[in-house]
Amino acid sequence: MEDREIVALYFARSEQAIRETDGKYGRQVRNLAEGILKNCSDAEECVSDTWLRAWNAIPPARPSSLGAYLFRIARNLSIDRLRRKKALKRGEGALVLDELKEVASRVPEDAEGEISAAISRFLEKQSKENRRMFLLRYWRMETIAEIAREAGRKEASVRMVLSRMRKGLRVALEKEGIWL
Amino acid sequence: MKAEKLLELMGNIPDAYITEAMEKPARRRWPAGRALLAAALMLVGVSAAVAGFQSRLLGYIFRNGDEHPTPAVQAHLVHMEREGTAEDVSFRVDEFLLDDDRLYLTWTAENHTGKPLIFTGPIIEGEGEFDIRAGMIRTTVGGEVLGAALPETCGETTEFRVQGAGEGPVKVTMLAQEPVAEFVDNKVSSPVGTPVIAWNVDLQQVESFCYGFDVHPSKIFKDGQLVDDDGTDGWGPWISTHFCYDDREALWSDFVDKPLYDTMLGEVELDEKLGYAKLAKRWDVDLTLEKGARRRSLAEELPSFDLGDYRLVVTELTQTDVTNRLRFQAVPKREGAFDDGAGEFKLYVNGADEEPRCLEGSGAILNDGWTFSNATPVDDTPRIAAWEFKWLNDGEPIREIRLTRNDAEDETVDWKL
Repeated sequence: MEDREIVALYFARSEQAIRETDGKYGRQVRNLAEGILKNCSDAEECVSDTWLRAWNAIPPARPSSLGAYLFRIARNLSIDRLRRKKALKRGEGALVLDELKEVASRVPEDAEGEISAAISRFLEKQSKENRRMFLLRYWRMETIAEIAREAGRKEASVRMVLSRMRKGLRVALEKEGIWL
Repeated sequence: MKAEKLLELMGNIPDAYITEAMEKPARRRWPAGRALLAAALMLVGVSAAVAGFQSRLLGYIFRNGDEHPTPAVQAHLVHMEREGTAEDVSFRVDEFLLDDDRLYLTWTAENHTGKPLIFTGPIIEGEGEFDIRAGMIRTTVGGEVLGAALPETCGETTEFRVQGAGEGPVKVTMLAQEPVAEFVDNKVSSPVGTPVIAWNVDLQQVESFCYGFDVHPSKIFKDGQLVDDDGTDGWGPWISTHFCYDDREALWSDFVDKPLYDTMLGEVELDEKLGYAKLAKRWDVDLTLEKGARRRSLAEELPSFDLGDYRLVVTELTQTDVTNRLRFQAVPKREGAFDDGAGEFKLYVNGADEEPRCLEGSGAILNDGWTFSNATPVDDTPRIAAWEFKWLNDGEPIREIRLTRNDAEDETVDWKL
């Protein structure tokens, strides 16, 4: 079923919307949550919470890309769950955060919008391959080993690319007058 | 805060990048250009003794790519003689390997006619049942679709689970259909009216590499209804055409309960009836399977453990020259004991720490048990050194087991907690 048809079901308050959403995006949302949480039962709860959040938000929200909308919710909920369980600073989460410290040691609250926009502009300038590696690491929180396996590169090579991109991001932010 | 906040802000990237992050990785097979393809295919003709890691089939089984298969593994690999053919459209089986109850086939399909063909298969007919586990395709190969030159070659390693005899002659079938319905760009228009084949393809990627079916999820519309949506999540190769269109569903119901062989043939017949595509070519390749890699037990007595409301029972701990397999099951002591359960386990093979596996918590899945199998690495006697199991409740481990083999060098296996 097309996204717009599924969204129409949400607007009609038909529970079929959830079934169609799960059928079309369930596997990807589960994979995303499981990749971040590294725990099946947590991931399954996160999927249910994602559907509930979507059900409560649509309407009035009318996402132009239902998939991206759901993935964003699932990622946020997964990170929230890690945070609540105090697990964000352990395991892979701790490694990801350590790496991001190279970009930002502090984030001024009044600059959050600017930073998000600057990150998007930075990503736009990257090659598709590099951008994907960056997104897998800092959006999906995948391990270096997983990214290397997918990209067909050695882990050292992936680390190198990501390290350069982090430095590049920091420079890009500074050029835009954002000092972190 | 700080880095944590930045991680959070990463979530605000545009939808397009989120979609990009969630795309299934395109599995790069080999360059589609004929010259490069010819170079790649030359490798297939090399003898088994040196085939080792160039083997696509062994590359599939040894996915991590870090280990070199043992001579014992290679002994079970059968290379097919490559017959010279002047045909514009061809299918051949390159290698196969029977690992006890798992059959792996590596094959290549080519279409140099300049017109697209939809390939379906491979399907197998022989003594016993062959359940597909991975690598069966339904995809368009060759020619041009909506201005995109499609790869003229497609190849996969297909994995079957063999039930029953499994030995003796089998017939491997591949089908090629000529599309009859018009291809339309699903991103531009939502097709209505006569049957059309709607595409949702990243045309930029198709020109340079053969990605196999992952890049070509197709959708079929009829009378404005999507009658095929398994490919829409970007994960599937299937042009399966059921559950969405009344007439199609009624017709499809004739096939769903039949064995895979009939089902796949039924799909192709149905496409023809509904005016999507017609059968253009069919190949039947005869193979003879011999059970070389026999499974042997790694433990005289299989261990089991008390986990409170349930009992964890190891039901299989075996290996062949090719793979290790661990199967275990949680047996409830009372009804409803598993509803909230979940677990993780790790297997250490030859000292290597495999990725932890997650276990789902529903009763049905638990009752079916879990199976873990992986390729046997390398050059010495393969062995499972340890198995760790954590049973979780709300994410926190409530029971941990570490099972260690007492003497990995000894044929007599003694598992200890």
